[in-house]
Amino acid sequence: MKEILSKKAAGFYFAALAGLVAIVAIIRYVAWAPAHNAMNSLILVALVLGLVIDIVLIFYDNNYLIVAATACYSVALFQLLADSVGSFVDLFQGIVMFGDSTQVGTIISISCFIAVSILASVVASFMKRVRA
Amino acid sequence: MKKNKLWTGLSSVFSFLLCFAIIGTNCALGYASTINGALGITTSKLVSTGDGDTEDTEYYKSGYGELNGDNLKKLIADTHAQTVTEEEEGAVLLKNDNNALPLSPDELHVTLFGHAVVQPLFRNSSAGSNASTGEEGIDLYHGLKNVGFSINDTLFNAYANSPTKRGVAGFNFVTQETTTWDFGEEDISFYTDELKASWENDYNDVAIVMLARQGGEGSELFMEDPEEGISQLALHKKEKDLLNMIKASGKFKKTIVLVNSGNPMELGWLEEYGVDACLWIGCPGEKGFEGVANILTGAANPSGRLAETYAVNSLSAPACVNNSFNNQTWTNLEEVLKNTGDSEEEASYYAVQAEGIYIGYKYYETRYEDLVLGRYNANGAAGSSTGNAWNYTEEVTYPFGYGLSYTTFEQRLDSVEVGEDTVKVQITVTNTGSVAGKSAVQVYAQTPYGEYEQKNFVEKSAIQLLDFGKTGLLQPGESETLTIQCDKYLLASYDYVGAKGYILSEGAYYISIGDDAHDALNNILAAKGAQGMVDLSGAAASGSPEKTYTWTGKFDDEKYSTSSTGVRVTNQFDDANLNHWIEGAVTYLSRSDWQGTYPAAVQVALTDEMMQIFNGELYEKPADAPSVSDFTQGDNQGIPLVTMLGVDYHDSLWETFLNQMTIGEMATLIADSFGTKEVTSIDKPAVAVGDGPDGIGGMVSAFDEAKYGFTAPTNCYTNESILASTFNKELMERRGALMGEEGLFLSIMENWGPGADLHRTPFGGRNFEYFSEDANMNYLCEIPYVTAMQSKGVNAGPKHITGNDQENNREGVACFFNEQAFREGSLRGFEGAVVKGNAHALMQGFNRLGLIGCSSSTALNTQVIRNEWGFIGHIETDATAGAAEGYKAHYTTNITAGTDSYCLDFSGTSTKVITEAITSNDDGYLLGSLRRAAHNILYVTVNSNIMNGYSTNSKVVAITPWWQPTMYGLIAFFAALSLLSLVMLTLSMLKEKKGNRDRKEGGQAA
Repeated sequence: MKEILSKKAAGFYFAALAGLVAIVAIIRYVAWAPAHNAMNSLILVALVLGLVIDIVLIFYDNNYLIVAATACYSVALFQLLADSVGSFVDLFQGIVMFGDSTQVGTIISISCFIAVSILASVVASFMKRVRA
Repeated sequence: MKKNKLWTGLSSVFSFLLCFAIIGTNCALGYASTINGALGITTSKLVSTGDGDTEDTEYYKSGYGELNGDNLKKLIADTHAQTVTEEEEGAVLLKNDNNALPLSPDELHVTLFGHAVVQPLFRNSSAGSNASTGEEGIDLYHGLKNVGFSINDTLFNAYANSPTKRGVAGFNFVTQETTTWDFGEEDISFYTDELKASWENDYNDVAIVMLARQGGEGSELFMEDPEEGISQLALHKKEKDLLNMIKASGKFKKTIVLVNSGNPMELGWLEEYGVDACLWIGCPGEKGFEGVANILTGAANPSGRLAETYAVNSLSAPACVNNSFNNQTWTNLEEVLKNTGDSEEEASYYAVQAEGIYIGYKYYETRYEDLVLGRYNANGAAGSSTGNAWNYTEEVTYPFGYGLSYTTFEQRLDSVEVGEDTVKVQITVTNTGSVAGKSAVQVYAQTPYGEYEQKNFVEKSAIQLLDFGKTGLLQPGESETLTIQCDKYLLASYDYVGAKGYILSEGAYYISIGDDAHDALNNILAAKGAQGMVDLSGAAASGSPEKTYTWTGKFDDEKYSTSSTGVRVTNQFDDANLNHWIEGAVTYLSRSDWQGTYPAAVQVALTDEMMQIFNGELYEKPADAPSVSDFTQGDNQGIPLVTMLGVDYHDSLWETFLNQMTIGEMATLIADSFGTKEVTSIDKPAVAVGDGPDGIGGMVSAFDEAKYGFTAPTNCYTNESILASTFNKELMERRGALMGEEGLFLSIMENWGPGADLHRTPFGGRNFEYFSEDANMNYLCEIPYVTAMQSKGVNAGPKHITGNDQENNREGVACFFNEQAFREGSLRGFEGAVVKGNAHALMQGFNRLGLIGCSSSTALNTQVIRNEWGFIGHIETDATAGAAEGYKAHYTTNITAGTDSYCLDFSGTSTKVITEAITSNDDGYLLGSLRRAAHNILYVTVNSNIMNGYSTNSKVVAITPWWQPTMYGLIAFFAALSLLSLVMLTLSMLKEKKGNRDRKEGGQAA
């Protein structure tokens, strides 16, 4: 591992950050969604796929893969927000009807983790991930 | 930066944006109707294909003439005037010592107290017009200013600048709590010496204190609030401190309290704090504070009467034992949650309506009669607020029907004629005071409670509202005679044990008039020769027997055994009685033994047998179900929808018409998202609907600027309980007519309202948009409102049928009751709307009737509403919001039970589920239900103002909203950029690879 890391450039660490934060997002999502009838397999698959890609990037750097990781995390983020429109509506309307406004805090916190993964992936995309 | 890194980065950015565009578009399409509504987009248009149509296609005409900007301005002015009048006639003067009100012209230098003066409660949070919160809203400050008051701005501005803010439900990001509830009153430390100086020498003619109590949709008022752990309707410490400060200052000549609330406050403290006058103003809507100002100055003489009881202790209502915040959870909740597909919130709670018929005054007054007559253990301590023997004056501050005036009236009962179907009551009212005013005439009845009733658990209220009327403006000394035709049906009682139908009891019947329910009962007691009656203060009262009429009736279980449709009326809701499932689980409150039957918290487990019903998707394709192929669909005969205008609902032409539609087309109609989509094959336009009992809201809450040359919000009227308190059917009719006119100018097919549920407890979050605690009051108020609205071609949709009398746990709460209480209580307001008002739409409640959701109840939707009442129109769920799981997602069960449409189903989930269920199972029975639903929806659509302008030469053409191609364009744009950047990345990588190879080869060559 030490040998692997010795060859890595700054961009790699952003990709690694994206993966680490994605792990947190996955754990939080899996812990939260089933209990609130909010599990969407597309979100879970996209997050796991993004994480797998980030793991692969440890051993094999590839520009397409980092783009794919960004896309995966993006799908997860926007699908989560799209699924949660009702909860936001309830929050802003002050009613209980379309979703569950009490979960908006959790939704936003999970979204923030995924957004960090996206941002880190995008930054990593612009940077070198292995030393020449 | 190397080029391939640049392109990698850009590819990432563009892929991010592409995901946003794709998923965002998909999401937006799911909410297309909402977006269209918000943007004012109609998805269909009318194209005339005829040569010079000459027929009059204005099927529903406005009383204002042509639908243009000038006439709209007249309508808006009338709606504002109506709101002011409603407030003037609906606000109730509760206390007026020494004629403290009205104020004289030299008493107009005032100080406004209470945080509510800067945060007035125009209305509670719910569907409806929000005009009051905009520039159009007149608050108390401006209402008073406009009629010449000088107001202490120092204190007013201090309130305005204070961070204090009253709040109800919401989510607190910091505390992760489910509510941002805040009592919203200032601490006594707020009133600094500097502020106190502001009323030291001026603005001290009158201290006007405004206190607010706020609920709303999804926001029940607390039985134990976070502020002090006491009833939210009680006076709180901050308010006590404020009132003490005002009293102790000795500066104010008068103290006047305004109760700004859709719920009844506990007001037993008015004497203690030296309050001279108290006026309940409800939620005055957009302009109602002008009416409040007029009452304070005497420009208007208050004539409102309470439509609910003001208890000393709100928790003393027997309904509070098991309802609202006192719902119970199943004792085997863990097991229930394991075995249900419903969410925890939907499956956990049940409400046992052990109070039976004894809601509001029917409890307090009935127990009072039995106390006076010394029977039925009425003096027991059970239910007593003091813990001692139950005593009326320690329980009731102001009874149902109570209200003062600036003048006095004498009401004389001239005659009563008991006919076959009506009781004709003639009353002469004389203004015996010194100023002009209106008088509400309240006609009450008492029906016999004898051995048969006790044996069969037929409960009777000692006094019940039979009907009401209101005089015109009577000058001093002037008289007016009112003749009120009361519906004799309201004297019948539902006997769910013996006759299993409506009965007229044997024995003495009484008709009485009175200033309020208590007064009317005292008159009956006087007629009975009783002793020991008391007035509201506890002083001895003699009653006026001359204000009663009595006759002896015979037992009759035939007269009302069948409905007006000829259908036998008999038990339909036995399974909503918890005792049906668990023997002896509930003891319903009975006046035969107040002490022994006063409700207790009912705790039970959900048995396996109950679980099957509770949990079930109840519909299964019947063995003898026809095939889909047995129906004709898609056989377009070229019959446009407009042809069906005026065609009788039962005419066979409807079958031919429905044969034209495909299953998919019919299924699109059942997904309502504040309207339905166009169906061009039958020339059915896209239609919008409004939502709100106190003003048209939803997606159409403003008038179209392009059409009228200006825009303005729909009017926010007073809340429904203010309207009820006017006791003026002309005003109710006028409200309905004006909302109908607004609907015409908005081109909406229907409006969801009026509300028709009960004020089961004083804590109901939506009590403000329901008329009363009294079911007969609901029945009587619905009729003029609904009839007038529909006369304008705007269908009325009373809501929420039924039993949805609480906002706490409203989604899925299992309500258990006995059938007498249900028919004479929850159902009655809707019955008036349908049977007498001919309402064309009904919105269901979120609750369960026993174990079965309102939307899944065949007994409710098919047997009672359609078969017994003869309802023609569509029955809609409350907001399913396209639910994919839980009890709201029982689409096939609901439609086969009689539900027609699914509220706020933006994504068309119901359309997809029903279509799939029909086609994949070859289910002709379900298709038959879909045809029925389509028939009902189209019937009310075509018989509405929506068809104005349509002739047989009209074609409906679909319009694609501009935002949809824009979204698709964005997808294409980002897809192109993503592709381009990936191509460039590939090229740059190839170039780099080639460069590396060249360098490597160059190096080797070297």
